[in-house]
Amino acid sequence: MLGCLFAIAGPVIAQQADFERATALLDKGEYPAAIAILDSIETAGYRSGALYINAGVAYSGINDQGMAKYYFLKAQLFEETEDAAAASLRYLEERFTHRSAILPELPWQRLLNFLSGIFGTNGLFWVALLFLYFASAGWAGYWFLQTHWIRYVSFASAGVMFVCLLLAVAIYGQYQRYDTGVMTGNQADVYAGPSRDSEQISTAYKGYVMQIDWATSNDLVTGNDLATGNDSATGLEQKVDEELGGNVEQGSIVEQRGNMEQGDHKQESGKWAYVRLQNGQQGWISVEELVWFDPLDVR
Amino acid sequence: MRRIGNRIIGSMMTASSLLPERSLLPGNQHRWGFFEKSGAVWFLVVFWFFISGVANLYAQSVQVSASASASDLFYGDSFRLTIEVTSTGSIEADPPDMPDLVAFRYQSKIPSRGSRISIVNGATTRSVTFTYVLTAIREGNHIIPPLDINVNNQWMKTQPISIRVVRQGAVNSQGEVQLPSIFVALEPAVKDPVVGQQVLTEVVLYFKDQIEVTSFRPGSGWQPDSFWKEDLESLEQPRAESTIYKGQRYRKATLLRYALFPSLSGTLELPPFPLTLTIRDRTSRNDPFGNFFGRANSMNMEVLSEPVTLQVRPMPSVLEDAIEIYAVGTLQMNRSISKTTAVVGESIELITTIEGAGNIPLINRPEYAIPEQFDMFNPREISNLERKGTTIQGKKQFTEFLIPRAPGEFTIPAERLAFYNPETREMQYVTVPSIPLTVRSAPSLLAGSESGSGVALRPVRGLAIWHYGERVPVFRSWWFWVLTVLPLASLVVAWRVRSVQDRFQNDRTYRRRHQAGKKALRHLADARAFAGRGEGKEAYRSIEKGLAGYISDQLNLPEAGLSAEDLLSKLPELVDSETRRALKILLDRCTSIGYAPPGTVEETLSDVSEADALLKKLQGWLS
Repeated sequence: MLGCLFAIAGPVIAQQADFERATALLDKGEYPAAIAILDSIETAGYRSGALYINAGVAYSGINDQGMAKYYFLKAQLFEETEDAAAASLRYLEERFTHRSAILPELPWQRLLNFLSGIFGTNGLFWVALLFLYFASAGWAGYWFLQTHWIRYVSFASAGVMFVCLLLAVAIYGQYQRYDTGVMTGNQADVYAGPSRDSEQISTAYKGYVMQIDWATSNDLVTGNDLATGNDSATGLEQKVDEELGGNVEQGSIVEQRGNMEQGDHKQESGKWAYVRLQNGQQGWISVEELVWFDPLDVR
Repeated sequence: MRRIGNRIIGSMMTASSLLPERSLLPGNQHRWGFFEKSGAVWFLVVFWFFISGVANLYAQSVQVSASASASDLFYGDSFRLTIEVTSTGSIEADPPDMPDLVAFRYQSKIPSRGSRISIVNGATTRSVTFTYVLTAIREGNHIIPPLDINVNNQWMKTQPISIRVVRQGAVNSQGEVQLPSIFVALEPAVKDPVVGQQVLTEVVLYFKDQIEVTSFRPGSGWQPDSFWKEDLESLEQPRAESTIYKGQRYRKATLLRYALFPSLSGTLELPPFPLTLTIRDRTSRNDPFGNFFGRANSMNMEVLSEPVTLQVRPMPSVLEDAIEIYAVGTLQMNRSISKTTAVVGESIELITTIEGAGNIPLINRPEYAIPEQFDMFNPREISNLERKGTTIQGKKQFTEFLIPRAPGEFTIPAERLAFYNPETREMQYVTVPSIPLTVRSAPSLLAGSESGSGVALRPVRGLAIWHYGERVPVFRSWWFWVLTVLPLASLVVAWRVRSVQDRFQNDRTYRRRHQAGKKALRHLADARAFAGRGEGKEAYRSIEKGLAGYISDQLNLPEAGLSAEDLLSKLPELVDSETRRALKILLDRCTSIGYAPPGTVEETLSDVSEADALLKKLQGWLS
């Protein structure tokens, strides 16, 4: 019994200890070291609103406001840190040189986000399953009892089940197709096509949030890693971690990370994503300056 | 021209000779009769020829001519080219198509049109004139070619015109220096500037004493290639002063001043400067036959300066450790910073100020070696220029916005800024000192100052709520599908049960077949019980009920009234003969036992066992 308890709680206790160590480093202003620890926790498969809040604070400490915004947006998806993340984002917005106009979300998007916020995709699947049971039981009851109201209840349950199922599939499809992207580079142009020779539509600046449409992008972008829509920041931070070696002299991190990002740029060159900016403009952007996440994976 | 006229006349006479004389003879009745017979068409054709012949007669004296207001010109002089059409009849003429001339420039290709009618000794002469104003832009002997003009639907040509253009100051065959009475000149202050150096260029008007210049207007669009041009504000109205130019007395007035900054090295040319003048000739004021009000002598004219060539030198090379900002002039430079202590993320302004006389608008932003821990955002340039006098003066300020990304002690290193001083004709260097910077961790990060909402960026402490593992959608797990299939499977089972129930209730045959086995077993169990109690007759009755009932239930036969032979005959072919025989013996015994004493208990139990065996066999064939 005790062994089982330790087997379950042991890793969590270890993560909590690392988390507190990172928080202590944050208090001392040793942001790069704190980032390395927080990243190792996330790489180990642990997610937490507090983890993302502290990662955002750490990146803000090294003035990487783009990455800070990325983590605060992730933290906002957790109920326990939603308000703190929202306040941090408001604070952070004041530090960006450019701010995008924000169009209200489309009605269908608002509905899906609302339902996703309340039930989540899995929740909707569960509700659909529950009503499948109701419908089945009702129908069987009608067969044996021949009572009409039981049949109507069965019909209603089947209807609710189908609606929930459709919504769950729609939300899941939505999250599979779209990711949330954040600009971490200072500036990137948005083009009408996946080429710098195309007509320039707009310019995205550091901190701009956009919706990445992978379904459209995957037809044209190169590389398999993009096609799967993997969380981009994990790999990035892993490299940070490798560069840091867990104990890097403060002050040199920025330069090293800058070099690492340049390396990434070379690797990523030629990859484009079809995005919808918050101001409603749509176009192609080079993924060199972007990090992105799938809200479904974060929650 | 007369030859052309004669040719036209000749052609007209020929046309007249074609007139059918007979058609004009009055009283020729039989001819009229011919007309009446052949219709009016022939008459109308003849009449048209007559009318056109008369009209052509009127055109006999049409003449066109071209003339120039001057045949000898200085470079830049303007003159009038007049094409005149004269006729004793009516004139319908369009302006001629003017060719592009290499040596002359049209002030406008739309001519001024004039018409005149004169009556001398009762003879009326009409004339139409088209006047163009041209400016000579190339020296040498030139010919304005014959011009085509359409007059009364006839194309006519003017005679060519010869014009000689000489350069100002050229010496003629008599050894005299040739200069016009009025001309404009571009006078740059420096003929061999370096790239970027300000070249004060004045537009100067020279004119003889007898000419009075009442107004001037610079031609639009004068822009020398490869120069940046800045207009200098005039301090006062132009004033004429007496001067000697190439041995001749002139009055001279500086009209305009420009600051020109060459952007390329090499031989660059300032193009001719066009100037429109309104002048009045003072000598004609004393002419008693002149216009009383003198307005007749006031005229507009366009003059063009000669082009001026400058030899622009490249800027001397800059020392390797200096920053080249392409500044030329007499300049002062300094660099300052808005704060030397800042927190991470706080904006710092690095300001470079350059002031003095020179190419202020063209100076480039100095690119300093900024520590990489700083982000640089949108540099700002502010220029404040003063265009009065003979130089461009002012101040230019470059502001760089630096945002530190990490805490620490930093230094913006000292730099040498290079500029060319045209007075000393050499490069000069100004050293801007290094600037130490202290960047602290941002306390505001942890105790943020978001407006009105208190702390903003504060790390979360304490026990976090952890989620582990990859977020897998529930439908990707097997047990979700098991749970999904379970109610559906239950529904299928319920449906099956309900179906069986319905058939039991409504299908007698089915019910009999379904219950045949159980009934038979029940009867055989009764038989065994009866046999055990020694009630042999009852036992055999039960055996008969069991076996015969089973066969009739399975084969949907009447429940009573069938003999053993009837039952056996209804059995399917599958049932083997041994079974049939055993079944017949047993059923016959059951039938006959009512009339005979029953056997022993053992015999009866043995028959019950055989009945059991037969029932099992029958179940194999019939169920």
